[in-house]
Amino acid sequence: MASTCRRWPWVAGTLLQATLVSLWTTKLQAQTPAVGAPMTPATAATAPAAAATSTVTLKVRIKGSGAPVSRAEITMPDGKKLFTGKDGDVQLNLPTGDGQIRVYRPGQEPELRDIAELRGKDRVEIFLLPATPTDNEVIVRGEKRPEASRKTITIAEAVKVAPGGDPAQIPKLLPGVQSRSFSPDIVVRGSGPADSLYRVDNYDMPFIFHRIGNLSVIPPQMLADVEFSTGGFGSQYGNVTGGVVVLHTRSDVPETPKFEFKINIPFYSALYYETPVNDGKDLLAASVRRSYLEAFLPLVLKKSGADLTVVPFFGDEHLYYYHPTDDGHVKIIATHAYDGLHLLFPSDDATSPSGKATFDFKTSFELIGVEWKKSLDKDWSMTLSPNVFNNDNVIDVIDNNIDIKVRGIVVHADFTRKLDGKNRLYLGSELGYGVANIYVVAPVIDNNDPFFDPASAPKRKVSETATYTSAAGWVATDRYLGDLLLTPGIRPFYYSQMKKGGYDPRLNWRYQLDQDNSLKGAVGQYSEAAQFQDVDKVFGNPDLKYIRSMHYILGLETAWSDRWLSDVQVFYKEINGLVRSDPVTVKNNNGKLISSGFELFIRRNVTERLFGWVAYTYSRNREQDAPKKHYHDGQYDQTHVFNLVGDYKLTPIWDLGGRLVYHTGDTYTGVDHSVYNANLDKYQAREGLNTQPYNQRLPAYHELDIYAERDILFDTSKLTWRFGVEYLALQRQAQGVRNNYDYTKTTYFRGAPPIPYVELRGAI
Amino acid sequence: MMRTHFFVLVLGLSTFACNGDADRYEDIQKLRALGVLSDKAVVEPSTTATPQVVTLTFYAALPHGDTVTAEPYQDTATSSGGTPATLTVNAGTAVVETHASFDLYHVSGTLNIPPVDALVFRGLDQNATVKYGIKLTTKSSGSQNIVGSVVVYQSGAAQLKSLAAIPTVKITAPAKSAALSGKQDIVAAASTTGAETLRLGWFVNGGEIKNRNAAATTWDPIKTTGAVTLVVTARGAKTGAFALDVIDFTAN
Repeated sequence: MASTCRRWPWVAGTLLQATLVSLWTTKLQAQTPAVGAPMTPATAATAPAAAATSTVTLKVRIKGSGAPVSRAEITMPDGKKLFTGKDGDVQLNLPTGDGQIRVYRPGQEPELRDIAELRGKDRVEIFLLPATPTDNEVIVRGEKRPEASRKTITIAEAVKVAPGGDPAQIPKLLPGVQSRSFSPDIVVRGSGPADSLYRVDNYDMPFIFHRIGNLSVIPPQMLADVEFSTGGFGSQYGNVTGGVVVLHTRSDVPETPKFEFKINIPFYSALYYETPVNDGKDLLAASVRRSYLEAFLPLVLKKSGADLTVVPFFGDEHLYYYHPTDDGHVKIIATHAYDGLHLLFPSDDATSPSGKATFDFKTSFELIGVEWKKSLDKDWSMTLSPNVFNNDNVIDVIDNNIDIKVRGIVVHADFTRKLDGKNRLYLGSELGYGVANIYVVAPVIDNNDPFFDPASAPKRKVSETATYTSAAGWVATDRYLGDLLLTPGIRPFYYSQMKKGGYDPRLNWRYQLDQDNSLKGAVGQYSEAAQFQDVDKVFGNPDLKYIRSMHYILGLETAWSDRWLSDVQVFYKEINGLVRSDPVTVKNNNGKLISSGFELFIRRNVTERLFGWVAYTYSRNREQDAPKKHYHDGQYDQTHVFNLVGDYKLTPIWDLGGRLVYHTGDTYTGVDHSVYNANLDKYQAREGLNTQPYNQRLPAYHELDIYAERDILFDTSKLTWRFGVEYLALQRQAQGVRNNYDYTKTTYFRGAPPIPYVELRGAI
Repeated sequence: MMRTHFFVLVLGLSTFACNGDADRYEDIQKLRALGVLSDKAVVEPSTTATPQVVTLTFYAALPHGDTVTAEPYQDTATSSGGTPATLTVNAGTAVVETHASFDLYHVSGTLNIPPVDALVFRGLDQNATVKYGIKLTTKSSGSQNIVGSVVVYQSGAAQLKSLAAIPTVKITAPAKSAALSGKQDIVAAASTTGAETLRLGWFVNGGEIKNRNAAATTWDPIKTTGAVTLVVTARGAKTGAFALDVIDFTAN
């Protein structure tokens, strides 16, 4: 069958977007109100001769949003200065004669207006353009944090440079992290994707990334910053051995309503609306995103001649409410997110006469969470965060079926007590309860049965309802001993699937060497419960123990100037009790991982003009699959990882930026030879007698992504074009290997060619 | 960006679908194992008085003009269950049947079944397996390591009768020696009196078979013309009991 590679329809998408801009512009011009209402005839009749004084109300606004500009400076012809009020308005007594007024606010271009132009009008609106960016003032500093490996990136930085403009994927560009282009999941210092914690505030979302869309489920407009720790984190987080990513929702109230849309053809569209409510004291925001890939993809595949059907879809909706109080705030979030995929593809394991196998996948969740932050008295403050959730997962593969529904409630309660000076005491608890309805029809893997073939093995049907509880507490304290800050902590925990509890002691410390240099470190135990399927009595081993890791970190932070920061760390991490397959017990705790390395982070703090950073990691990740066995390279082992990220504002309306990624190739287990298994009529890979797992490595990977953004400003709205190219590389990069049917040929699965794109965003 | 993953998804799947024809499982262009016929579908353990011996016939497709040597082979896999036993390749049993597009090669070997105390009986069925292996090497068409298992039940077990049958399989369409054009329906009739289902497998020297495990499916010649040799195999899902059929026809 001859196959043709067809060009992708991004050209059609670009033309459609251009048409939309044209229509948008025309509509706005029709709607833009006339400023400077003409005098009524009565006013004109009674108006004195041109030399007489008059008053006019000046309304100063930001061009592109229409937001009022408070404290804008108005310089009159005689040098007198006036300032606009909170609403951006000021009343001017226009002098006799000619002259100009100058309207100015730092960060905006000054506007000059002739007195004659203002005379005879009741009100005049002046829209200030953004000023040429300067590098004079640092907007956001990389702050020193008490935890050894924590870094914070603002949303403003993240939406520019993160893959997909998705703040939750910023960790991929930070030190200590391995990543893959096609997946949002991260590997942190050798720990797999499932071994890191993702939260939005204090809520554990059932999933943080759309599996199909590869975007996080929270729109960036609702976020304030992203906090990320690669290890050595405090006692407030637990049940993971890798890292912690926390997306913090915003805590500010806008002055005016805003509506934003995004059109991305042929993928998805997004709408976002926020408005001040309750007399401008509170924020209410709503967002909806939905894909429409499923309408375009079948057409593209049909034209390309591909013998498969792919119907992916994803979406999410959110409501967010923020109510600040005198001594804290209340936040409420309601989220619904879903992903789905239907695949029909040719397969040797197909049971249908067409020779095609089906794969259907759908996952969704709803979550309602409340965060109540309050000062209890002059010493105590509290944050209470309950949330309820419902999560459905359905997977159908050929004639196997997995259907898991989980409903639950989790309550976080955190307390802080001010002690003497800067010393603090922290207490917290985390209680969870859930009910899972599990229905599975699948073969039980039996590696000891030489006739076992997953495609045709007898199915086991499991239908059960299980409840689970989780309980954890934590205590920590900040103790200042001169220039030394010690933060010891302890976290007791219990997870019902393990039928036992434990506790993790931890210590973070920081020593201020001088004004610009801090020595810091952490040591601690980080335990993780086994996954539910690993302790299941049918598909796993109920007697598994907790996975335990020890983290050791030593680092030096230096502020070279107010523009430049550096952070150098060495780390050693040992994880014992990793879950491995077992021919007798199905699963065991015999695995072990040792991860060690060095990280360098050099950050250029954000100014109006520029921000960026360099992140480099050197690490070795070695695994042992059973006691007394040799160590081998780990499943996740990228020896060198380098990221260079930056954004530069050329003019008030043009941005340029990009990211350069390089990492050592991923490991994989090579096939030494194959056998034909006559029981199954299949070829099976075999390793050599002395072959170690993950003994081969893909070629090193590199990728350059560059973009330009251009704002088109209207009085009260803005359009932003973003143009760019992703996956620029010297050649298409190897992402994995694939073997032919008898393992006599191994080829690299290559990533995407350079992909140019255009995106349009609008804000009203 | 979303655009990125859209392209990656389509590119990956298109590659899967578009490039699969370059190396398809059913396409025979070199030495290819087809299956192993045992003279006993199931067997009981040896005793001192009654040693159990199984004769295995190994089938392979061989390009015209090449020659094969056969020798015992030990599988290196430790995860698959069963008791290993050494195969004895029976000298003088190699046969080459000439067909239109390739030869059908088969050779026999003998496997001694261990006694009951050397076997591990497991599972709901309480059966044991004895593993064997053979390596076929040609001068210019590569080599094949063939492994498999013989199923053993305790003396007196009901399965020694219920699973004893050797299946049969016959290609009912297209007809032997037919001259055909374009896509063809290919149909096989497979049956067994044993208490197990049969897995089918089609092989051919060119073109594409839509579903190589279906009893009835279609063959698309693509660019194949001239002599075509079509093979169907059937094997028991529980015992591996084996049968095959071969026909030649001409594609115009």
